[in-house]
Amino acid sequence: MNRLQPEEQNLLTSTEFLYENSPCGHLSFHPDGKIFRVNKTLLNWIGLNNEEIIEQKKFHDILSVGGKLYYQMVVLPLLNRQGFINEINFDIDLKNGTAFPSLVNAVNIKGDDGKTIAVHASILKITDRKKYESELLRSKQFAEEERKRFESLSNIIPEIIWTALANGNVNFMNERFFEYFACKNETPRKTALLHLIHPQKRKELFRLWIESVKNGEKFEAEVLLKKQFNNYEWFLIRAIPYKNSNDYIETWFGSCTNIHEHKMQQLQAVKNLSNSLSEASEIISSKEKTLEEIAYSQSHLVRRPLANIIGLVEMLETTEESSANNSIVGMLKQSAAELDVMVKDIVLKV
Amino acid sequence: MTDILKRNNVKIFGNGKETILFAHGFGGDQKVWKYVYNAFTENYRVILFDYVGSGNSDHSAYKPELYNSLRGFAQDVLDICAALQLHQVIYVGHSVSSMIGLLAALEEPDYFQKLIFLGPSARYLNDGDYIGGLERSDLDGLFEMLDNNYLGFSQMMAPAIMGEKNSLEKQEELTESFIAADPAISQNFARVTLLSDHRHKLPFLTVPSLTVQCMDDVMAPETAGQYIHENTIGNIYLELHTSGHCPHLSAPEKVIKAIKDYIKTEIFA
Repeated sequence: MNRLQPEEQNLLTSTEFLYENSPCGHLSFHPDGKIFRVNKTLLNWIGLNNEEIIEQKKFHDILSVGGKLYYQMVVLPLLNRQGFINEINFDIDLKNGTAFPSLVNAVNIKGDDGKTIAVHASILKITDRKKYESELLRSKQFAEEERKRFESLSNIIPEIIWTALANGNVNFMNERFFEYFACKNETPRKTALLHLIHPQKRKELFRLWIESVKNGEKFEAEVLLKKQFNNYEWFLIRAIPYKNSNDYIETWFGSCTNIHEHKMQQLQAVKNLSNSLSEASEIISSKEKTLEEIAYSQSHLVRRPLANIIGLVEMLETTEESSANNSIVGMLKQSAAELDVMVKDIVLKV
Repeated sequence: MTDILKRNNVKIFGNGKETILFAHGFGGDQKVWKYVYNAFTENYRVILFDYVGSGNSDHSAYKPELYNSLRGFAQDVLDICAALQLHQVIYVGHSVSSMIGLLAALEEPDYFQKLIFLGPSARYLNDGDYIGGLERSDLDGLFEMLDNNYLGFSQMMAPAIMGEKNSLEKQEELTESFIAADPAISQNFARVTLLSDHRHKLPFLTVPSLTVQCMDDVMAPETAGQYIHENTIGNIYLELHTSGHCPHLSAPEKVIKAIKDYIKTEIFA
């Protein structure tokens, strides 16, 4: 391989050679924009020669129409204010009517009195790069549009909708939320949201949410949230993870539904059931008591006429005199009648 | 009062009986007057400010619905005049601020003694015989430029966000580029400005005014300046021998002279 001789190397890296042939365009202009020096690279790109450009054209003359306006309105004030501009994307017009995209850096050169005496600009051709950038910009715009579409859609539905980032931080709530909880429509803050949750439930709910986020599992919880005038109502909070094509959780879609009435009915039903159960138990225990009373107190009363009857029947067996028998039968009848009253009484009590 | 002064980053310099209020144009902030305002601080009270959404104003005060017409920006001017109890000020407005000054002076003529329009245009788009200088397609090109540089600007913002700490001055500089780069606000200001048409308002101005016209101004050609001169009562037309849309940056001494001469000019109503 033939190496360059030192003299040749020196020539190729001389300031003059580098300036004219460097792989980017160089341009210098007066404060009024008139170009006084331009390098070969840029001349080749634009398709003009030195005579056509030096002291003939101004910097903004080589820019596209949009670029001219942008230069006058935005870039020039910026350049004057901060003394430099970096990576401004301009389309440079070519002689043949087409244009190439470029990135322009420029710096003000100041005189002893602090005033700008010249501007040096370097211009980088970014035709291919620009394609990526346009693609990127389009994707960014598309994503932004999608976000707006989602937000407006979520604002017209009557439910409260929210989203959270993969790390669990809530990043969006629809308008319904702000109306409902009468809070300011601003980026949801963690503390402000936690404040809505009933103090006794906060820790628990937070723990459940963190667990769901950690495990990437569906979240569901019934919580008491503070509405206006410090009233708490029951809400069902649900969230499901949305996974992107790489199976990573990208965002959480959540809902928040007021279930206060339903919950209150549920609680009331439980209360009613418990009331009727205790009533039934009371009735049962009072019946038991009655039965005990009957068994205890009545057994003596029943026993008395029955004992009479047994005694009288024994007497009947041993007595042969009919007159005596007659009186025993009379007493038997009386005792049987007494027993009958007793039994009826028991039946009535039971 | 402090709220308005803070909101609009109002700066007051010098002292004198009379007050000059400088209003910057699109894409800039009060710093665009840096070569000009010093020349007046000896004899005048000089007031600089940033419109809400520009420079170091309170960007949180920027509400798109308030600033969707130049009337919103005129309210900034009126608020500042009211807050400082200004009366009969000399108002210097660059570019779009010319028509903002006009709107403010139509509402509160007593606030203003004279209006100076630097590179004004009552309508930027051509319309029949009227030559505003721009076609709709040119504007689309500009809006495309604003879009294209959105990404670039985001990159410029990066060091500020990452909290690079060199020197205070450097920090300030970074913050400035950050602020200048608020793309949504810039876009809105550009649209509001360039699609506006205030030609019908010109004949109602009762405050004397001066049109300072530059040569070779892509934003406001001579026809636009001439139109304002011809349709505004008491308007003086001055052609400045400098080119471009920002003479206060490219030829500040000529702008200073133009303002001084006009202030001295006796106006016979």
